[in-house]
Amino acid sequence: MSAVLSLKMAYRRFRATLGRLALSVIAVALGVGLVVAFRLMNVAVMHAFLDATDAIAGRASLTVRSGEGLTFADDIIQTVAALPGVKLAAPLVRSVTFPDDGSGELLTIHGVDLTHEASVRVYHSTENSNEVIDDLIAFLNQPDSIILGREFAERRGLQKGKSIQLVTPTGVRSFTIRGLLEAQGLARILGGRLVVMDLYAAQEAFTAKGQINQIDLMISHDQDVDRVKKAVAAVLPGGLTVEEPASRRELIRKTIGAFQTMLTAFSFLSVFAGFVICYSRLGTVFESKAWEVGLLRAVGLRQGTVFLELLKESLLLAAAGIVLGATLGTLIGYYGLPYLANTTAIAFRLPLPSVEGSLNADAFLLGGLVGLFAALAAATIPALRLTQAQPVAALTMRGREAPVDDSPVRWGLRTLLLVLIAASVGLQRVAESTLLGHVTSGLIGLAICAFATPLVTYGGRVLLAVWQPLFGATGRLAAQRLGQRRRRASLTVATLGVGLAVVFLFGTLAWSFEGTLVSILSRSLGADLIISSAFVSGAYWSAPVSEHLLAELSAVPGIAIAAGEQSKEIEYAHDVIFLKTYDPVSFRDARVYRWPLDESLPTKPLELVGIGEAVMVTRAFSYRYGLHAGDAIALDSPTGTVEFPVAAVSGVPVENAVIMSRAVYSKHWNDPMISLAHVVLEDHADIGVVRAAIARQLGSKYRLSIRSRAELIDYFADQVRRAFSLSYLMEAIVFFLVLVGIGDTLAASVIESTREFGTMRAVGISRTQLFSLVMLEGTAIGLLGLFLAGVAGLALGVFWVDMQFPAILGWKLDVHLPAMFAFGAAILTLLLCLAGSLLPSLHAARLEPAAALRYE
Amino acid sequence: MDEIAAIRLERVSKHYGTGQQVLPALSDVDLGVPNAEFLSIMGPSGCGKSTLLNLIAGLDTPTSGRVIVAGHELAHMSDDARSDLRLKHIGFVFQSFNLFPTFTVEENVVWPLEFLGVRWRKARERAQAILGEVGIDPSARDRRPAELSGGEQQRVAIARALVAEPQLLLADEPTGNLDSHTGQAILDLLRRLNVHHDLTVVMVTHNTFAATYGHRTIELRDGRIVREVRAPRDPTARVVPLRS
Repeated sequence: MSAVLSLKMAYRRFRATLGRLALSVIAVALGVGLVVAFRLMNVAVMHAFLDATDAIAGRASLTVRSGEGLTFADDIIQTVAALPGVKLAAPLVRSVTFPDDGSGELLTIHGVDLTHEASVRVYHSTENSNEVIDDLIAFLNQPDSIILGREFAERRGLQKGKSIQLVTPTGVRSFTIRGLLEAQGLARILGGRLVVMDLYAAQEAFTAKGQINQIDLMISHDQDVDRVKKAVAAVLPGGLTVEEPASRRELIRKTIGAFQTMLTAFSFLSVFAGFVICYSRLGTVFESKAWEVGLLRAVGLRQGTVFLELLKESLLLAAAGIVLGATLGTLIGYYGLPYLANTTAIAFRLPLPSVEGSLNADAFLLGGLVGLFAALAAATIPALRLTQAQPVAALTMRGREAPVDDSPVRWGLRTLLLVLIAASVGLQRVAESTLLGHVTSGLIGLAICAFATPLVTYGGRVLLAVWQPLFGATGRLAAQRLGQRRRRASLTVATLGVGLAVVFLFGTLAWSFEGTLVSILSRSLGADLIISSAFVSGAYWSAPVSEHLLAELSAVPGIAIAAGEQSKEIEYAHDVIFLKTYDPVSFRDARVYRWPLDESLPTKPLELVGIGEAVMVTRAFSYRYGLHAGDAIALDSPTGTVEFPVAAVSGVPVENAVIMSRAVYSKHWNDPMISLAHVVLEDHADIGVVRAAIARQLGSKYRLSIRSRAELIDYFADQVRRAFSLSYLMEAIVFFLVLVGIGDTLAASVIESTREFGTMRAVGISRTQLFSLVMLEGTAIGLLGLFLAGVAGLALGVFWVDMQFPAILGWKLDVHLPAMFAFGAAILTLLLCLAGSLLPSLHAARLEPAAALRYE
Repeated sequence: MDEIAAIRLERVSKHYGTGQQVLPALSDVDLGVPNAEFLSIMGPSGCGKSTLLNLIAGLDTPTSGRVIVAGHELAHMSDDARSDLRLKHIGFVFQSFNLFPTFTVEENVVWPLEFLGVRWRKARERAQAILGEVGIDPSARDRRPAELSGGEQQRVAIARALVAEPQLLLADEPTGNLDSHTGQAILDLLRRLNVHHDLTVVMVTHNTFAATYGHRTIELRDGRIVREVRAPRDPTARVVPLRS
């Protein structure tokens, strides 16, 4: 029993092969590191945003809202406040603003009724909570009065009595700091990036008179919350909802959770890559020690005992990888946390809270478990194969590779795998299941591994035919050596194939996304200039600007049309969709916007939409919800549920969206803001002159970004590239593994071929020829891996763009193959193969023939 | 004691391949090896010597016939049981030594005892004792095999084979990779172990001189025993080579 549990023997063997297993240790460490890092960061980010949600909710028992960022009339307050059980109904205006210093730092605006605020939302919890403001009357009488978070103020060198320029939808305005909030409660959560002002002043500056974002309700202690909630819901007009803060908390958890799940999936992808590399390396190392397994069996160890000993080696590998990975993960988590928090805030248009990292035991436990599983799973098949070999046969394998099993059974399994892939792709077309799509992707990954051996066999023959005329005998020998070491070569080819296929997959996704977006924007945008706020309120969304801008633009010489566009996310069918709204002229005049329609009513659909008697839905929306021209759609708005006939299905824009007249939207959703202004120039107007005029007359007031059509398309394309920037990290890891993998494979091959090379040198082959031989061998492996990756990557990329992406997001993308990217990646891979082959080639060239011939 | 070390082969045949590709390695071999005998098996390359040894060790199974070692018919034993038999009762010495290149001399000898459940300290003591008996200097115990001469490596391999105190030692061309002087030293060692420990030794060799170390020599040709020669049973007798 003690021998079963003892790690002594395994440690001695592991210690001896640590150099060769270093790649596997690194691969496990990277996977574990990313799992730990994302777990640490996700937990910290989730806590921070949930704390922020709780802080925003304050001590409210219930909240009345109309949807994220939407406003409703404040006349409902009295009705709600009069209900039995409601102790207090406190209105809130919530918006965002930016200091006019170009920093782009987002501040959260809370417009509150300061006479009641302290009882609902604790901003300042010291004994002198009423002395945040020196003089409340003066504060209320000055509409430019604000209370600012002390942390933010100190960072900017601001004090009470000083003024600050803030960008509002109606332009840049000056506000006076009449109070500072200590770093407590919501101010602390938001890192001081909080501006509190009078409710009516906030309405005037940021929303509209009489419009609020939510009502916080305090319930009497002796009242049942559910009963009061029902009573409130009964008096609310359609489009308004009442919820407990916990629901909001759950919504945030679900929303951010989905994003974090994607990040976690990415980290598990790294674990899978680590598993493939471990499988490859352990298989190679175990095969090279087949004779040792034979010896163990010959001396008298049982099959099961030998199997356990091999697994123990992988256990030690896992332990080394886990320790390294945990350290790496902690470092990545520490430095990546602010970046992830910022990305999350931008992606979900939430206020950015202060995030504090902490070391969670479960992150390390999860990382440890996946690392252990990856290493043990990777070792199981090679260990099983070795221990089942006959001891006598194994003993003769010293310095030789076990023959590859290329039996009809194997080919049968490969064929079955292809059939399974074809079947799952066919099923995916019908079922549109995300899970099935992942299974299909996994099967394709397995197919890469399964077809690596035949590729080495038959690809080696092709290379032989090509290289002999190109490189002579050296080329022929290099290609032949692949066939002599098929198992090792195919394991490395499989590793390269999987890694590079994932690179090509991400490249295809990114290119298709960008290409589709550029194509759609190019087809739809008609305006000469597109104007927006210079500030971004979330993701790629510009901060809202007052629609008064349109009238001011129309007054600029040279401008023929200035049409507004506003976009808003709303809830629909327990999901979130976009409302894309345009001024009526956008539907009449193709100079403003063009609408390629997939299907439509026979009678002037665009005109119907323009006059507000119908709406359109996008192709993605129609695909996801099954709505077509002629159907009807009901939408909840702050003014009640509104129903529209669907006049057409449009090919633009790309999102799940309902398209309507901005006039209709503004009426029902109480939103007079715009996010974009489409400007059409008069004939013969000079675009540069008009642009300069806009900047001069309106730029300083509104802080505008003025882009041409081409520039806007470039901007959105750049946003897509930023969204996929996480894939660069993955690509860097893959290329690193290419470099190390090739080097490791060739190093092992050279060592085992020492006697062979000694023979070659003795026969008369020069050092240069031997150097070239090994370099060509490495290049051959790289070429075969690239070929496999290209085929599999293409299959994966097309599958994901055509089927999996629509299943996940409901967006249909056009397939754009990243030819230049693939070419660049291929060149880089070959260069890395050459670089990885360099040291082993030099080692081979430097072998002394006499010593090499004696090598055992 | 006599029964435990005895080997009996009854009409043992071993064929490889099937159909028209059948290759007979051994044909109808009858052989008995009493306890404490030193048996040499001779024959040209491909005559079935190593096959015979592998069958005795339970590393391979005969196509027909019975192989009985230490009173156990190997065909009736499971793979695990045959492994246990080898670990506890049989030592194996190979032509190419087959030492773990990354283990020290001591580690190469100790590891079988770990799998027999012997505690580390006691295992080390036994290893050191057996290494001393085969003539390995204490200073060499922390060296790796690559740092030893061929003769030293084979002594270590013999030590490994004997550390579990088996009753039977199987040696497959133990002097094949050694020069004549070193080889003779190894043969002397094997003879001494046979005499002083009542160790049954079955040694395969193609070297006539090496074969004379056995009490009995059998000659194999084309998988059959064609000749048997008995030497005088004098434990201390030493064969003088015809040529110095």
